[in-house]
Amino acid sequence: MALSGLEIFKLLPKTNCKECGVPTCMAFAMKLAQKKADLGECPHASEEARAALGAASKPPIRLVKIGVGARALEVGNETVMFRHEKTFFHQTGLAIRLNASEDEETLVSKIREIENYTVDRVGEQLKADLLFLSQDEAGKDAFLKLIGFAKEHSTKGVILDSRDRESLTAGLEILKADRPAVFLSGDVSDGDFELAKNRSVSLIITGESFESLESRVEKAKKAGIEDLILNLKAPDLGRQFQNNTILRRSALKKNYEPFGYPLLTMVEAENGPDRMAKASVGLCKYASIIVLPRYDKALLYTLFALRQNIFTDPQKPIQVEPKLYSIGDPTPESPVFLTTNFSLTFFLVSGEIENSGTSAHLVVCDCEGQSVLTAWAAGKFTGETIAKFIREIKLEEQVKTRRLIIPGFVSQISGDLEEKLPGWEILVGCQEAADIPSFVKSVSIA
Amino acid sequence: MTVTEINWSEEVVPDSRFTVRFLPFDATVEVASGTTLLDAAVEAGLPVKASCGGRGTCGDCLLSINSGSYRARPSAGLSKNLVAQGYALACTTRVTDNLTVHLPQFQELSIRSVADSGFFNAHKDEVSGYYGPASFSETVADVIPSATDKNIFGIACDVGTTTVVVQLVDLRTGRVLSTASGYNHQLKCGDDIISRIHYAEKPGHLRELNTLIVATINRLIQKNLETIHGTFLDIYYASVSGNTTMTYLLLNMDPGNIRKDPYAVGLNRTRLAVSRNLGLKMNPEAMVLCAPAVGSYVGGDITAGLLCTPLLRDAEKVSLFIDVGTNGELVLGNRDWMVTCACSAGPAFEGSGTKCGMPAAAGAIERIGLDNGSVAYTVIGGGKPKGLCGSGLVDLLSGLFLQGYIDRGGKLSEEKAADRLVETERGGGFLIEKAERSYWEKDLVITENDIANLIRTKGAVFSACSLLLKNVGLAFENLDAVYIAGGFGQYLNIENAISIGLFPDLPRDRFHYLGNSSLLGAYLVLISDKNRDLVNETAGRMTYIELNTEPDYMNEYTGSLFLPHTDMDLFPSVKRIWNQ
Amino acid sequence: MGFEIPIEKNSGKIAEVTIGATSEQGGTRSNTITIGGSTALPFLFFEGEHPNRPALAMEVFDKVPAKYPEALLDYYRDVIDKPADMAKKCVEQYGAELISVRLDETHPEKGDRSADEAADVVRQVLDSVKVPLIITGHSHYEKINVVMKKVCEVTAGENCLINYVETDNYKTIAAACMAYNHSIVAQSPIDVNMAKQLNILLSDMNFPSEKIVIDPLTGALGYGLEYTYSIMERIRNDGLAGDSMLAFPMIINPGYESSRVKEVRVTEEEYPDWGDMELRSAYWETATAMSLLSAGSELIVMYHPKAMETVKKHVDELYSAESGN
Ligand code: SF4
Repeated sequence: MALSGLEIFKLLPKTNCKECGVPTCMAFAMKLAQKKADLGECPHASEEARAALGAASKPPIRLVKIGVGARALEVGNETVMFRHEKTFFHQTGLAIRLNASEDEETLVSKIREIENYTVDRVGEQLKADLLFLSQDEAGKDAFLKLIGFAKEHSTKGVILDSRDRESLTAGLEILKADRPAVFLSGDVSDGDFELAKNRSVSLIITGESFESLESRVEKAKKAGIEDLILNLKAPDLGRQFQNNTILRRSALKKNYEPFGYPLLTMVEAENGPDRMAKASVGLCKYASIIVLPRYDKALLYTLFALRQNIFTDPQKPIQVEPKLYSIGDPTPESPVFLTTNFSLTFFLVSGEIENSGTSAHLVVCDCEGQSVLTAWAAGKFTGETIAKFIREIKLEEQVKTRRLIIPGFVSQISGDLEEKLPGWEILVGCQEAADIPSFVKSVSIA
Repeated sequence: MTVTEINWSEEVVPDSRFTVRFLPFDATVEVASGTTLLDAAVEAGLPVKASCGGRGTCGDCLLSINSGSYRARPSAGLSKNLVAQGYALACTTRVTDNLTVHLPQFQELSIRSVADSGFFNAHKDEVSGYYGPASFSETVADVIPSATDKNIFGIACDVGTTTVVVQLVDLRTGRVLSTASGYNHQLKCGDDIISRIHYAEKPGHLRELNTLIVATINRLIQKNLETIHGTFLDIYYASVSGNTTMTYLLLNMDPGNIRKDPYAVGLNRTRLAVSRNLGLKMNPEAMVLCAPAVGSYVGGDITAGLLCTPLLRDAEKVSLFIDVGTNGELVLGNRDWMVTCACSAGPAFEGSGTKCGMPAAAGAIERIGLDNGSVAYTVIGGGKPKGLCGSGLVDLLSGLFLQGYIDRGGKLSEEKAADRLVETERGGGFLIEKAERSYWEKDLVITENDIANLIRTKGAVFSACSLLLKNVGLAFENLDAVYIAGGFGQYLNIENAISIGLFPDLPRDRFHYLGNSSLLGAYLVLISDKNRDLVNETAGRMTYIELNTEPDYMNEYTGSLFLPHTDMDLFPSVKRIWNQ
Repeated sequence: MGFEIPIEKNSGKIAEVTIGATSEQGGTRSNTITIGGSTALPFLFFEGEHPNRPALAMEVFDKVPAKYPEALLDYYRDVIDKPADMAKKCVEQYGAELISVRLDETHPEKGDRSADEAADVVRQVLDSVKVPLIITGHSHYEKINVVMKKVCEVTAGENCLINYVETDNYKTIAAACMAYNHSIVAQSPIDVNMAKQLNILLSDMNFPSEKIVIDPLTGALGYGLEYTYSIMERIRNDGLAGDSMLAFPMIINPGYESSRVKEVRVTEEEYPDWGDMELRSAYWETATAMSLLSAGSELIVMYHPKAMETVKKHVDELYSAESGN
């Protein structure tokens, strides 16, 4: 059970010496309770405190890494069933399957295309995380070739899918320094565990039932393997949904150690929309890795957006990049709107400007992701900060309009802003984004 | 005084200029003849409102004219009777002479809670601050004359955003000689803290705010001295408690950082200054001490106020201290730990922010009960009611809710409230008293907007309270005592405050009214250096929580925007009544 | 220690709401649709009952939406301005189980069509299809109150789902629903407390609880979906935990919300990294619907026929676990 702020406080020295970086022991205790600090930061904590807090803080789902360097994927370490309880910490890794039986040229060009595919959304660079290399029906040589291509043309982490130990041994030799994972479908034995010994390799253990999965995990643990990922096979989406929930709940609520590992979900379907449906549900309900059967940009982009939504910290607003945005096809004479860089505010405002049918410029100020009123109250959305930002982005060089439409909620800054932005007329707009279309109609804004 | 009531339509030629002096602010502007008083007031920067937009119908901009002649248009918003008494509406009155004008909303106060220190008097031995014969600190010993035939006075001063109270104390005996209170003259620069901070940003404005607060205090010192026929040279020591912003402004420090960083305070220990540097009307060598602040919005008024409670002494008990003012400040804890936060409650219970609200001064309804269509109330000082003060508003809201005149969201029920439902400039409302029986001879009405405002205010206070408890991991029932400070005084009906969800539903004997604990705290700090040490220590032990960055706060808040709360189970005693 | 499935029993049960009325019940629908009734989190059959499948509706308009996406128009070009025909197509070709009639043109800024005209449109749809109806309004209080009153009157006995009331404007429409025996959508702006408050207000006016559906306000994928998702999970958790004022089925609008976003209307030529537009427009709506289904939605208003087909198929698949493991 997690300890409350007051319970933790009672274990601390109560001297308010501030060495932990916050003003009081109580402040530190509350940070610990919210898991925003580490007991190590208090140099005076007693053994007793360490023991009590240590027991309360062991992560129930293991953190597992695939790949190396900047593109390494970390999954696991989750602590909650629902994102609103805290947050989901490590977003689902997206893997794309490649079959060794395909012809070499296709494989190389696919690997390259996947490697080069990155797309920007709300200031974040999004990309697929892993390659899932399947030996399929192919022989050892073809499989090793595929692994070689991945090594040569891709920086992404790799999962090897094969039951041929010889191929795997050779493949892992190629990927010696790359921290790959191996997908072991079916039963496992000591020979499989040998693969992972003395190498940084994670093993993906599969099961046809909770029981078979559990017994295989136990075997792996007995063999000293700890970097595991679980894949419980399910005949349909309904069973997959239930299985993943049961596994996650066992780990979090029951501290059931055999299932204290991240989960991998396979998406198998004939057509795009079906894949989309299955991947969406997998992403929401506890898949730490999703393996997609093929490379499909539209699907990846949609899934990126969903992943961003589900994995943002619900306690921290998502920010959009503060800059000048074009809505529609604005000319230098088009109207200029102003708002903050809280993503939801931005999306609502830009969406409603678009719905109004007008093309416009939208100045999005840096307000640390706060909404208009919060930012204003915190002094981040004032005449001075806005004027400064407008000079920074050289707005006057980009538009000819000299009239700025500000959110109705901050009408009080208009005088100040007029003063700080000589030559500009400040027009107070509506309060709610939804009213923008009628606002646009009611005034001649240009 | 001559009133010209004829020919409003005939243009007044703006050929000459006159001065208009507004009291009690002592603000003077020069305007062309024919200017309306509303425009003149706006030019003087005074907080005069006109919700009808200056059409002479709402009656918000009422003022009384003490001297000079003017031209007034008769209007629906003002009765003949009041006109005869020298009242006029600023929007329909044109300047044709030098005028002295009084803003009745800001008439000199007798804020009732000032003298109210019932709790303190009854529990002197239990409160945390030392109370006994005055003892001087070494820091002030140098400036205090040793001769025994001389007067040695000190002042305790509570600097509020809206009102300021100054007490003159005999430092030899600790006896309070005189008390005076008045509006903070900074009011013309904005109603609340944020607007003052905002105002201070412009060049020269910090100085202006500083001058205004110094002038306010000086005038009250002067009033006290007049009462006892004393001289300012005998005042050797001042103890000031005020919120963080007011303290900044008194010390002429830029408050700009306050709203940007909750910890950028620089006031977390008591500040000592010399009187002559501040321009206070005291002995030039006198020392001025400001109680320490904990965070941007938890200031010396709170740290000093805690001295008047047993909270700092209790080891096991957990208490909650609530100061409901323009900002609500809360402290939870005991001797070992304290967490504190401020919520922007808004001034609804202080009298502004609602059309029918007013401070707890003469003419205010302080208690009101609704009973099946009839309304019964008591007015401070008797006579016809001018409006409702905080405790009256709490009673009214509770009555409206429990009797079903409004739904739990605060919307008037058309069936139930039918014969008291009226339309006003500010939307539909509930008629409290008819024009002919109210002081301003206008219907006294609480609008749906007013109700929404009151709900927001009580919601802000309650949600701050539940968030503090959650952060340390306690529940409401863990509260052993609740100390209520601020303007409500003991006139607040606790039952009604609970039924609207302002305070948690705890056994009623756990609630204690402190009265003006900020002033009392300043007084305690004034008379003893033990208390000076204690207030410093207290500030050091308090943990400040910034609500705006607390992810759960919004949820707590929206949950509280309902009567008594979205979760009625938090209010079992209200639920029982409601279900009947 | 052997593995045991960790079962969490709930004390609460989501209200069962029936929409539509057959001739025995005083209406003219060929069937009714019942949603809700769950005693566990979505699709968890091992610890509770889910007696009713989430239902899938499609939407028709009294006026062609101003920015209707090209990708959708391809499916509806022949019927988009004929609500009765479009409803028929949605039911017969695309499998809609309910039809939502959106009355945007009654908004004073969008055509100010009269209540009688709106009632006419509803009548036509009622005549052309036999599935239960959802009547969808807008946020212009004065006007929509008049329109909904009229619509409630002319559809008396049909048990339509009147969509929607909000805290600031619920009394008139709720009273009309009670008078003419319709169900209601209680909409609140992505907030658990406000959702609960509105339900309390409705129940305080004795609105029958088996006739309330919550609209938590849908944010499309990429446009606030995460808020809707979490609010729905919280509403459902609280409802199952025994908070009867939150134990109602939930309606979402992936179709309407997705149709308004840029991602369904720009081509691959303009945004090469976003992939094929046809696919993307179906994906966007599918992902919005499927994620919110996972969060507890029971009534889903779709636009895209391909997304509709896909979601329907996967609701069935999610129900395959009904028979147990
Ligand atoms: S370092 Fe330790 S003892 Fe010092 S204030 Fe922080 S928690 Fe308290």
